[in-house]
Amino acid sequence: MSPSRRRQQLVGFKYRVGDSVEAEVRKSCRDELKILYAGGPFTREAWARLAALGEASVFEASKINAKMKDLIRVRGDGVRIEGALDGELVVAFFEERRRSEKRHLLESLLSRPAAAKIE
Amino acid sequence: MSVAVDIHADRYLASIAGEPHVFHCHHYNCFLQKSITDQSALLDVKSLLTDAAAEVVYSELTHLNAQSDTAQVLFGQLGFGVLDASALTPQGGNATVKGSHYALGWLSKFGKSSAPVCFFNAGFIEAAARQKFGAAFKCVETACVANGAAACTYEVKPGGRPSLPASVGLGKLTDYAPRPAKATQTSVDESAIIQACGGLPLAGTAEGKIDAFGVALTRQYSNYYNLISYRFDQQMAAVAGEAATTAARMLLVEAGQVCAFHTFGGIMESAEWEGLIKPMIKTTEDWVYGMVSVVNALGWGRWSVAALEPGQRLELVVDGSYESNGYLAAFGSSTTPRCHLATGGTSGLMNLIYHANIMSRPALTPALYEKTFAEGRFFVAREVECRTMGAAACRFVAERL
Repeated sequence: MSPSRRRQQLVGFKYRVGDSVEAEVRKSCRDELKILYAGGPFTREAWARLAALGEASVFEASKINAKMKDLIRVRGDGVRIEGALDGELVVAFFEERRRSEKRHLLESLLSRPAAAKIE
Repeated sequence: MSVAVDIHADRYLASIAGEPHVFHCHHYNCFLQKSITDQSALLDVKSLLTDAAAEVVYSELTHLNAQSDTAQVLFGQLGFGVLDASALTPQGGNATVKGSHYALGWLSKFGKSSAPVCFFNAGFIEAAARQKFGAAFKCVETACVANGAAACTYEVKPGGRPSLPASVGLGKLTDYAPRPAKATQTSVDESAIIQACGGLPLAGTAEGKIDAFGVALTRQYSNYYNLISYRFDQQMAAVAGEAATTAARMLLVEAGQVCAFHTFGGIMESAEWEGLIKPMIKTTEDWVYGMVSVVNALGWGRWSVAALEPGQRLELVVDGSYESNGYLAAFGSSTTPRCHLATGGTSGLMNLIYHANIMSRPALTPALYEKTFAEGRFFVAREVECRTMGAAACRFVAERL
């Protein structure tokens, strides 16, 4: 079975990551694995840990309108992670070649005790 | 190096060298294309799709006075993949595209294709060759990732149409009337959203991908959509009469619904929505305003909520829709409404919010699409006033069936 067909069969599959994050596999628009991580809020501390997976960039939307949250994006080898500072959603895209390794790493970072403190 | 994009903030449009561009994702691009290619028994769909691309791209490259690698840079910047046309000579040759938006999009949406699908790319490459060498060329995709090939490959040969029709550029523009009072009766700060969207990474990466709003975006040529849609309509009428043109228009509206369901839906489930728009939302109706605000950053013209009965009815006014701008300039006036994308978008928006409960973040699967647009009292939309029929602006109404 091709990787993309396998991924297709997983769409909608939900599982827990740590105590307070729920992951759900989604269909990506490209040839990659997309997972939504809902929970949080994903604090500055959580994003600092996720930044270990690549290079982080911040778009300071709160400077445009204080109600907006700053957007954070981490780009690493085989993975792209998107979300907002103190947001309740992290969206991750994993390239096929390093899918398992990167997913496990990301989920271990999300579920570390410090992350679980998730206020 | 990148090619400058001109933002026409007063008209909610964007252009490059006078050629308008709009954001759309692969769901719309591929569904619209498939709506046309499904009629291949009646029409020369390859020429229809490729010729339109060649015309608009050639116009843009000519106005840009494109130098050696401008076309390749532009192709990636617009999110179509990575084009290598360096081997082309005045005698033609081969070009390749890695990570083709159309091929990967088709695979993702429809699975393996029985034939190459990158007609837009072929037209783009044809235009690049014409502009670079100052002669007529024809381009055909000979191998396609969507068809199982390892790479998308194109063969360019001298010949084809001696010259290409001029593009209508930004089309027939108009001054906008003041917005309806209802347009600003929300806690959603549209101007902040538009400003924030302008700060997002909306140019293609080194891989020729636009990574924004969690969907596979392109900054496509407005006039490409217009030419393929309205020529499709015309050609269907010519070969198969009134019933065929009615079917064609229904397909074009459905392409708009597909766009709304997947693109609007994908945006509402994205990290950007979570960070930029959701914090401003207080009511279910604000989801409508939030999405309209994002649309107003996409280069589609100015969308305004004119009336909104929660859960029942939406009336949108669109000033300077890219569809009407292009239709009026290229085809003249019309006796029927012509903004098919916006019509489907209006019903799609209401169905997402009041029928599919997008607020619960459902998986946007084909099954949910079928359920949303076929079961229960779903919303249908119609364009009740259109600039192509003489109105000052285009007006759309979505109501429950």
